[in-house]
Amino acid sequence: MTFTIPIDNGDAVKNAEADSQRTLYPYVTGTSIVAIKYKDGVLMASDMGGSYGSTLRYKNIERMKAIGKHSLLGASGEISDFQEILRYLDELVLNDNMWDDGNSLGPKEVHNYLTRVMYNRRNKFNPLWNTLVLGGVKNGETYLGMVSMIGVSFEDNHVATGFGNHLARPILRDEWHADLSFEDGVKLLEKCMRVLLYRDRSAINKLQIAKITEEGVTVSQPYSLKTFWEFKAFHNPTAGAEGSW
Amino acid sequence: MSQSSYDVPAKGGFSFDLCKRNDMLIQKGLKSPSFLKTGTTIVGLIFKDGVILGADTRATEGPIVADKNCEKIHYMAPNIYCCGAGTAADTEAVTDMVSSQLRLHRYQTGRDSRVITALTLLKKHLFSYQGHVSAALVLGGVDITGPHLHTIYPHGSTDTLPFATMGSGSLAAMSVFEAKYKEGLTRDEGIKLVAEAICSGIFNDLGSGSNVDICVITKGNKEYLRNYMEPNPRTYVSSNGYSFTKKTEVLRTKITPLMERVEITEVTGEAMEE
Repeated sequence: MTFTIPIDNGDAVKNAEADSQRTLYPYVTGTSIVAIKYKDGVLMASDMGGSYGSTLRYKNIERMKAIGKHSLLGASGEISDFQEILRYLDELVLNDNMWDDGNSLGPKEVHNYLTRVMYNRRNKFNPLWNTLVLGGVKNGETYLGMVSMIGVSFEDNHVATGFGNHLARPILRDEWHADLSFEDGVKLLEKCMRVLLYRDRSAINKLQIAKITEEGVTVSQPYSLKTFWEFKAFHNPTAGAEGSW
Repeated sequence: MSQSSYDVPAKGGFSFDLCKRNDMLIQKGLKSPSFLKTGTTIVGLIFKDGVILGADTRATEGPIVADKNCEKIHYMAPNIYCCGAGTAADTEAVTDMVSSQLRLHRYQTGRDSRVITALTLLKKHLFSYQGHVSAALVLGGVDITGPHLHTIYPHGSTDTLPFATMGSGSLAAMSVFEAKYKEGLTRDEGIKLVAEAICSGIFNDLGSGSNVDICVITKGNKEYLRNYMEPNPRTYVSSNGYSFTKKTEVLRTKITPLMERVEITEVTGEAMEE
């Protein structure tokens, strides 16, 4: 038996319309997310900026949200796609609650669902332009994983997205260890966020740290990090090299 | 009528004669040859008494490691060294050229070279080639005016900094510097920090690897510590040199060396009779 694929020129019109629906580039983007497992659960940090190309358009975007009772989702990339994903997850959690069977979606299940969604959208050439970080605790088990916009998904003890891959990962690989206390975990995250603040042009000095433990999710109030600009060499950089900059 | 030919003095700057021909070839589908890149992590930092430069030792040709232990810290003058990232031929050639120019200048002036001299010579050369000489350099040294550290980009711009990183591993190394740099570091603290930054590049960047080279320059003195750290030693499968499956019982081991070892013992006593 031979299969023939029917070619119908009437589809040209439909295809053109379908083409214009696909995501080609991101518009309003969030920068990196950094997350680590610690003694009681997962700590996640993100800043509150939404850039529109090279303009810092929005300075009050919460890029980390609680999902159900056991999970915390952080996203970098296109903000509108993040909001769409939150709607999908809302539906998912709602349907789960309607069963009313005492069971609730854990972080592993949510991560799996997100992986399927992201991968299938990518196969249709219409990706959700995000890198998602999913952390949670259920029945004493801590879980931290990541899904990218092309559907690459994995779990690890510490994750970082966007610029955090290059600037935060080396610090985390060196200094993360199991059973960090809450204070140490926050200090480690702040160390990473400070380097990102210095070296990522789309980062702003207004960050939130979210914590998820067996008890639930708490997202801190926004605060800013102390930065140091008083190196003597910065005061008069060309003192030794007149005429250069 | 006599036809006299005039000697037109050579025009300076980049010669654009072959550009049209190159464009035509690329349009016809010619793939330009890929360069041997150093895909590097190079760093420099200023400490209490001078400058410390550091570099990894891997040279890559696309996805292949071409040289596992190359030298990226180049000599410019007895008191000035330069780390190079980018196309290996470009960094090698440009540092060699400026090193020679500095030497001639030293003979002419009778004074030690200054870091800004090297800086100006390098940046003028790179700018005139409009970025086609793909050399990104970290230049450091101590001269009569004190310690200096500069970065030079392929297009010819420069920065004067207390700590600097360049190359593909620059972000990994910069994250270490931004987190841990302080002013007034001692020599040992500085070396430790530079080694940490290079290791961060070696382990987190695919373009960097193998060993850590360090060069410490202070007033009137320099130390070139080649292979200061070797965090990626060659490992061997088994210390015995052989391995049998678990079921095989080794009854007897006899090792016959392939070359005879000759021991020479000096016997003190009477010399041979003439």
